[in-house]
Amino acid sequence: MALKRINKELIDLGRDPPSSCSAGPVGDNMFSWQATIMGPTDSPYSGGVFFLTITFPTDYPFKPPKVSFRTKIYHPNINANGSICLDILRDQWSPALTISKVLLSICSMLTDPNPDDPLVHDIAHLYKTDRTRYEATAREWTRKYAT
Amino acid sequence: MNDEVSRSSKPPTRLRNAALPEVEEAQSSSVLLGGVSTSDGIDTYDGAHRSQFYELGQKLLEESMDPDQLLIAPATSMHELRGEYTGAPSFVAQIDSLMNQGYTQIVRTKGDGNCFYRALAYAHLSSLIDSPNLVFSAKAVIESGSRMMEYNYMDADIISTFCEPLMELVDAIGSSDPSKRLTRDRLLSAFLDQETSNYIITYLRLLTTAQIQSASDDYAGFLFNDSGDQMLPGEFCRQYVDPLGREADHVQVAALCRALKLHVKIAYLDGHSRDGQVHFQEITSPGDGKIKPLILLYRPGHYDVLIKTN
Repeated sequence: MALKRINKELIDLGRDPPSSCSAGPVGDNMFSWQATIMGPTDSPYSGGVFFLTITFPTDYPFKPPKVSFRTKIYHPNINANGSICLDILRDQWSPALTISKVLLSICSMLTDPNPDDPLVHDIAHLYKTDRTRYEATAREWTRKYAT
Repeated sequence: MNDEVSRSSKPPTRLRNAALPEVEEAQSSSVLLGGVSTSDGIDTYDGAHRSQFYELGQKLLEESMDPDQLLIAPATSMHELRGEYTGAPSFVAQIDSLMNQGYTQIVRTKGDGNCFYRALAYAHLSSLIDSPNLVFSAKAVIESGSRMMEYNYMDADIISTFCEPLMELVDAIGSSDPSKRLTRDRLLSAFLDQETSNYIITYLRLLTTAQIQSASDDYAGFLFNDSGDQMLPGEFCRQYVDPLGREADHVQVAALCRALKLHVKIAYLDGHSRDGQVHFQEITSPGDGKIKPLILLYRPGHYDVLIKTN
C-alpha cells in the first residue's frame, strides 16, 4: 500500500511539479528519495539550491516521511545535522499530506522562520534581536554551501 | 450563531474538559451542533466531589487500558466491565443501570486516540449488517461525503484510496455471494488489521474535516485549542482532526455524525450520579430517518460500543 501511494506521488510530482522544488527516488529503492529546493527569492536563501533526503516509513502515509537537509543552511528551525523542526513532520502529520505539500511548507518556512519553536536557539535569538545580522549570515552560508 | 453560546468564556464543547456536562451548555449547543440534545436531570455532585470522581474514573479507565490491547475486541459481557469498577459504587450503579436497560455487551476499542472514529465505524457497519436494506443509502452518504471532501480541495485520488477499504466492507454487506458477505466475525477481523483500520480512520477524519469546513459557520464558535483560544476551522482541523491519534471532542463527534447522517446515543459512564442514573447524549442528523440509534459508551477520554440485547 505504501509503495502504491509513493508511486502515485511520484507521478503527480512529474505531472504537476511544485514551483522551485523537485523530488524523486535516488535509485531503485522507492522509499529513499532526494529533493531539491531553490531558495525563495524573498529570503536570504535566494540563489541557493538546497538538497534534502526523504525516507518513507514502511507504513507511509500513516507515519510521516523523514525529511532532512543535506546542504548546510543557517536557519532557526534547521540544525547542523539537517534535521527540520516542522510540526507536519511530527505530531501534526496527516495521511492526506504529500511530499509536494511538505516541500512547499519547507519553502515557506525558509521565507518565514518560526523563532518561537526553534531547533537552534542562537539563530532564533539572533533572528529576533538582530534581523540584519541573521540575514547576512544566512546569505553568506547560502553562497558558501548552496551555490 | 447563538450569541449566548459564542460568548461563553470557556470552551463548551470539548468533552475532555466537560466530563461533567452542564445541562444549560449542552442544551444551547444542540441548536448549533446539528441536533445534539441531552436528557434533563443530570444529578451532579458538588464541586468538591467532582474532581474526586473524575480522578477515580480516570484511574480506573487507565487501569483498564492495556498498551498491548487489540484495536478492537469481540463483544464481552458488561459483567466484565463491572468487575473492573469494584470499589467504585457510583460506577457500578451506572453499569447496573445500563445492564437493566438491556445494554449487556460491550465491544472495546483500543485507547489510542482513534477510539471514537473506530467505535463509530464499527457500530455503523455492525448495524448495517443487521439492516442490509440501509446499505444503499449508506453508500450514497459516503459517496456524497467524498464529493464534499473534493469541494474542500482534497485530492480526489487520495480520498478514494482512503475510502476504498470502508466501501469494500459496505459493499460486502449486501453481497449476494455468501462466501463474500460481511459477517460480524469478518468485520472484526477487518478492524483488527492495522492497515485497514488506519485507512478507515483516516477517511473518517478527513470526512470530519470536510464537514467542519463546509459548514464552518455552524462550528466556528466551538473551535478552541488546548489553551482555550478560538481557532479558525482550517487550523483546528489541521491540528485536532486530521492527525491520527488525536482524540475527538464534541465538535468532531457532532460533525462526523452529521456527515454520515447517523443517529447516535452516547452513554456517559462517569460515576457522577448517586443513584446510578446514566446520562445519554443524543445526536440526531437531518435525514437519519427513524433508524435505530448507534450506542456508544463514553468514559472521559474513551469511547467503546454498547450492544443492546432485547
